[in-house]
Amino acid sequence: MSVVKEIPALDTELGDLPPELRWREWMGRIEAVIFASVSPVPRGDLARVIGQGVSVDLLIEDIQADLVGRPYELVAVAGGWLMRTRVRFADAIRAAANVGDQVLDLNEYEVAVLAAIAYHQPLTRDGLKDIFGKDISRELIGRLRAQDLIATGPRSPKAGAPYTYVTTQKFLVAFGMESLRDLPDGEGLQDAGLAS
Amino acid sequence: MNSAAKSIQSDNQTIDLLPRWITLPQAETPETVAFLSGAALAMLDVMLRDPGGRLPAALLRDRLALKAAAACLKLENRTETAFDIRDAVCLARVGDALGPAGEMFVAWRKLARISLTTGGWKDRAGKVLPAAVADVAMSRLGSLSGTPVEQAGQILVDVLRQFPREEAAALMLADVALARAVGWDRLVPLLAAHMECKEVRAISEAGDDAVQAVHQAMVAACDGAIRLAADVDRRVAKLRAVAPKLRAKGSDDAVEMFVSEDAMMPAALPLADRAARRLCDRLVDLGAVRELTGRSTFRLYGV
Repeated sequence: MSVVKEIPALDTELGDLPPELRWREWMGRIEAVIFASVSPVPRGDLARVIGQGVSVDLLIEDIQADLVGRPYELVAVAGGWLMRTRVRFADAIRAAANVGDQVLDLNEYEVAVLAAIAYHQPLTRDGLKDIFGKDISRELIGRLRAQDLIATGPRSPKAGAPYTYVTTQKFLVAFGMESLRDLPDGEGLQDAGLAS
Repeated sequence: MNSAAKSIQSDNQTIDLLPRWITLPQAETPETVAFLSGAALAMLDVMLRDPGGRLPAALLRDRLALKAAAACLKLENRTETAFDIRDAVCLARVGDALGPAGEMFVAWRKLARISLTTGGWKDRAGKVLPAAVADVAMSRLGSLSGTPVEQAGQILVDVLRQFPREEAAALMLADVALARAVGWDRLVPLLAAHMECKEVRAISEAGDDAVQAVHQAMVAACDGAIRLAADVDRRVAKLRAVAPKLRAKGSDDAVEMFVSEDAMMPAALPLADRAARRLCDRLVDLGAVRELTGRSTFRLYGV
């Protein structure tokens, strides 16, 4: 005798609804799933709540069109989709609530270290020293690790086999990138006046 | 009965390089490049079918995967070389992240090990690619038409136009399409290492149709693959020749690893640490494997 109540399988095809309503329902489900998740939701997970062969991209596009003018948006990051408030409301959110432990709160120097790792990974602390001309403290590395922005990569083939550091999925999410391919290239940096 | 046909069948066969009439630069009309790429591919096909069963195909694919990965990293504006890639995959311990270079190589390596003739290959290949690309492209693979090189070109252009920043995935799919169209059991990483960056950008940014560039890259790719095959074939033959002299326990398994993988640390061999290092030193002395880094520590070995 089973005591586990069976969960009825989700009706994904929605055959009893007229096409218009079916589409709206699918849009609703996708938006709800993404809204409920703190990490980017991969395409495969979204495909499970809608009809066989229905285009996730078209549904997402329609949701994004609905969200124009709303203070939050649906964005593609790190191999999935995520909902987030629009950047221009950052000050309002900060003023209204104590969001200290959610905010990455990186200072300029930490961002610079993070950028160096992103471009030159896998990179050791010695490698960082070569770039910045001074030691990068273990504490700083520790903070970036604690925030899950970097992780340990392959050992470096140097005496003592020091750890290298590499960026994480969370790093991509935090900076709104789909992959490292979205890091500005040489030309992009020059345009921004950050490299010569 | 000419002598060229005979040499292909003989026992101590050597791998024939592409004849000069294929590799010599010629007038670049669409007809010529298409004809030459077809001829080059046919030669590579014959070599890979390998009736004698002695070609170290796994090692060949692994080395080609390394070249492809290095080329794709360059396309992604990264600076890692083949040496960095080897370090990343060989020096990572369980649980370490591989970093972009290691991940790129592992993706190519995984893809090149998937049997394209057994059921479920699309799912396995799809897992290696970015999900968004796999969704669109795996079904597109079934609807390609034309010669193998044309099919590779079509999927390359399709994917790059839709996903301009997914160069690696597009080039992987081009090789998948090519292997499927020729009827190979496994993907051979060919196009990526021989398409110029600016040619790839011309497709993704300007929407070029790239047929000509793909045909030209294919001639160079077949030439490169056949040369590499001749090289690894010679090196593996040497390793096989000295293998009976090795007495250490586990050395047979070690030899099999050298015959199928690009590079490894002694610690990866199925021998005790010191025995593994001794075996590598011995193989280097015998001229059967090479130390690939030039370092005195953290050495990597491969044929």
